[in-house]
Amino acid sequence: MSNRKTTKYIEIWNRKLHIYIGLYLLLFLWLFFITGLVKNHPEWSFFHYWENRELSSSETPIQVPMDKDDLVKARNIMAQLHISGEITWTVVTPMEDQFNFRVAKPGKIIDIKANLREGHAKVEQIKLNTLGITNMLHTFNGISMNDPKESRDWFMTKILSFLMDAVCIGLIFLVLSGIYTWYNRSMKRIWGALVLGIAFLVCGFFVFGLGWMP
Amino acid sequence: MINLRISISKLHQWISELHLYLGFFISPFILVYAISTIMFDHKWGTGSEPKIVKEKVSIEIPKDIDGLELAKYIMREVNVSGEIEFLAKNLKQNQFVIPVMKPGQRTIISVNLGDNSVEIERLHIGFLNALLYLHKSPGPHLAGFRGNWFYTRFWKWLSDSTVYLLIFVSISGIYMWYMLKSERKIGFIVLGLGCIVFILVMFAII
Repeated sequence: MSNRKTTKYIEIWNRKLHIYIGLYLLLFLWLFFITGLVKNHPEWSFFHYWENRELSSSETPIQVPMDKDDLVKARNIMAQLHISGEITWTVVTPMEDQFNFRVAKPGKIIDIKANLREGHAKVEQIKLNTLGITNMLHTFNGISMNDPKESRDWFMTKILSFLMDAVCIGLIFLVLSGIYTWYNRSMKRIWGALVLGIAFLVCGFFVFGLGWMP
Repeated sequence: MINLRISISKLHQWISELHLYLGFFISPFILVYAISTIMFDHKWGTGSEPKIVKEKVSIEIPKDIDGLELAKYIMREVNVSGEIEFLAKNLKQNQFVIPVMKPGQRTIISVNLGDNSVEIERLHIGFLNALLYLHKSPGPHLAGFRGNWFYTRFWKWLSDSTVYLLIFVSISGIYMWYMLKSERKIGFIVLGLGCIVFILVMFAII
């Protein structure tokens, strides 16, 4: 294939992929960007979902798990209680035979306090409304930046985290393919370069410039 | 009929140009959010040791001001700029602590209100942490206090504009795709697939 043909081929596929990836990611982009906007505006009273949370509590008998590993033990109890989600922390109090842990998933935070001596578990649940669920989805990746040991333990968190990465890579592709398409249109080069230059200058000032300021 | 065709073609041209230029304007901000999200997702950028620079100075502290006003006065005197994270006063030790944050740098100002001495500790946390900070800034916490620095308010305005413009760019993108008859069929399939994956994931995770 000649150079010209290759360039044309890349141009066509770049444009096609720009359209397809944009369409495929549409709902994910809206979800993450709108929830991001909401997070920046805690003063918007109609988004106050935490005040409208539902609290419930129940006590259930359980079969005491014999597993030594905390995560396996927690999963065993969760299976008995028909609870799914990401285990965010576990606390063992050996003197009292108490095993406490928290399970989270978008819209639900569940604290389980299992008494391993008597074989029962107290389940305290916080349930959020739709806005709470969407807000939680923005940050729900199963790990914390402050805890280097924490890792994802729920299959769905791994899926969501993979999707977050995919959305980001898709977004980076959309930006780069947009620039490539523009660059091949000689008519709009000056205005495009001007807008792009200003945008990178403003953003660069925030990323690098502010740190250099006294 | 011809007039209508001309105005539709003009509208199409306008939408196409706005899609391009507004898309360009938000592109570096999109890159900041996309790269920092991947970093959040993999805990990147937290391991590096910050470069610490310490200094000690003495300043005149006025008695008639307090709280945020006093913190801003001290920051001006010791030449520190940034967003004040919170204010902490230790009455027993007569100490006033002002943690200040800005992209790439965290400064802790400890003021001894007894002898007017000020300890300044600057932690240079690097470019990657600057991206993480900008991603979370200003955020949902301490709503009444947050935005006490001009550039935090400006960044908030820019990140809000990025979302509004992204919504416009995505809607104009849908319009432009729909106008391309050759891409309509595959486009519908891809859009449908994206919606199905989105709905399935939401159902499974909630």
